[in-house]
Amino acid sequence: MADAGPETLTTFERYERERQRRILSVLAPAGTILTGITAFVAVIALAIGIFNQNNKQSATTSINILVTLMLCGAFFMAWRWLQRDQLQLATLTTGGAASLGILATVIVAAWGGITSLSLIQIVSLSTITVLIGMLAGIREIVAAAIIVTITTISLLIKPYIGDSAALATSTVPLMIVVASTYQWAVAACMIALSRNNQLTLQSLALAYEQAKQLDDLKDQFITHVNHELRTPIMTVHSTVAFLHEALPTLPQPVTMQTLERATRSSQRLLTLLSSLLEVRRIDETAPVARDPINVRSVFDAALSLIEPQGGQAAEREIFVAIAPTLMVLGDTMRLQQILTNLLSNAVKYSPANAPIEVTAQSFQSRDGQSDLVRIAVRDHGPGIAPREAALLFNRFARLPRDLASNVPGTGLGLYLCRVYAQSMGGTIWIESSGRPGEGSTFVVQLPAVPQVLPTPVGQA
Amino acid sequence: MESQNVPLRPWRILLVEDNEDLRQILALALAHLAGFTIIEAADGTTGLVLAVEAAPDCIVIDAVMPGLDGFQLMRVLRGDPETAGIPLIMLTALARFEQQQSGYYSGADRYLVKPVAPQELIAAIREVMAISAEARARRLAKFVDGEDDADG
Repeated sequence: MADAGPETLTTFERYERERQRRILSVLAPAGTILTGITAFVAVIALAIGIFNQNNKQSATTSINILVTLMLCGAFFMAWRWLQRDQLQLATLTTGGAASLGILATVIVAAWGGITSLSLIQIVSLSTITVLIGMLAGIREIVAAAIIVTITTISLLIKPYIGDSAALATSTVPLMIVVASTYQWAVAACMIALSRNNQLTLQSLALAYEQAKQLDDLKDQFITHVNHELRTPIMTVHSTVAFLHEALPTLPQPVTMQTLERATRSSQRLLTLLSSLLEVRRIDETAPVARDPINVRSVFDAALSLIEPQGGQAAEREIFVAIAPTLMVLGDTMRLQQILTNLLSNAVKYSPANAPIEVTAQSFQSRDGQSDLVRIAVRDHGPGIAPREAALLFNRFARLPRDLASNVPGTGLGLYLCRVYAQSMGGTIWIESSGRPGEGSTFVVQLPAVPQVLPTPVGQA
Repeated sequence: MESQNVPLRPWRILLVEDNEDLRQILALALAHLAGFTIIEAADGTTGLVLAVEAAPDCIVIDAVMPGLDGFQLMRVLRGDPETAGIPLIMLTALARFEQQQSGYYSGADRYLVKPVAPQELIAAIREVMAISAEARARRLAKFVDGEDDADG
């Protein structure tokens, strides 16, 4: 947001403009000074008559000096435009004027016939390709190379027009082949450079965007955790401060009830804290077990964990369709944490009387190579729009509506689910239309136990 | 006159806070330590209804609540002649300066950032009650004069 420059540009475009600006800030002054000096020297030389020239040569020299002076002016204008931040104008002037200028100089010099000087100038035509390559994209480089080659061929052939026999016996065909080979080699180099530039800038832009997105999430997270911490801390703090003063006069049951409330709040603080610490820990990639584990028993363990604290879960219908013999390959603790997270989300984000359905079944992967198990937790809450679902499994991600409605949470649960699922060689995703009432289904897919087990390991 | 501020009955404090544990503990502590009569509301809308029906002497309001939030609630209260004179204390986890500022703009007399001990809250309540008589008269005068000056 705080970036300077037009707001509508993408990060890549901004980087690309910056690259052009840097190149122009060298090219434009250098061009101005070089062409300026050249024109100055040539004018002096012409004036004091160093060149012992005939009329035609002197006319050619004069035209060349004129072109050089115009080039000097164009570079100078580009320089000024660059300083006024008119990048496009500066680019066009530098690229266009310089290319046309060089082209004109060469044509004028070689028009009357090839001399050793005009041959050297023909070589310099590739400067156009280099120049365009620095300022523009691949299409422009190819166009410049074509123009350069056509100009070279035309200039070399011109003295032989109408006399093809002489042309065939001369060195011109060889010169053409050698010249255009070099010219296209230069073009190829410039294309490679330009492509490399583009790809580098694109990946940099992508990395920047991702880092920025994460940073935004982190900011949001810090604000949120700050808010999440203060209320339970106040409950604990108030209880202690209150009991400290009032304990002797309080009836026993009231004291107990008060302490229970404080305990609940401190538990909430602990949960928050441990999920924060957990995130730090899994960044260091702890080893993951790959044991055959029974889905149903892990699910039951997960359910028993959420029921007592959910409060509402007791009245809620939870339909479970998991074959008692269904096994997956993975880590008991991690699968249990995934299921606990998904279940408590389903409880937290759907109305108290809405049922939750949990199903699990094995199937073959599409390529028939491996057996997989899908565990689906379906709720009948508000659902999640596909646009928001994309961010859901990111660290610190929270939906705007949850932030607005004060649903407690850290934005870490689903991130942990994703990391756990991936660490066991599985995946996790959400299926939801985002239409209220249709709910959402979270699906965890894990590898099934292969038919032939190397060593039978006791189930968890 | 000093006696003006001391009612014959205990002060009635309306506590609008969506976190049940905190609300209960505060209610208990405020009643026990200061002798206030506590009226509880778990959300902004209930708070609004009770502010009119129970005519509390002071309202303690959380900021982030489902439905009508604390800022909106205070603006509604300040805009109604029946409740415009009631001292309002915002008790919230929103600790940033802009949020505090917006709390005062919305009509808070005090802005307390959680966590505070119940004793501090009691002190704050007593403080706003002490200055409230004058403030109340000024706020109500606005309605008497018929000036509909926006209060934030």
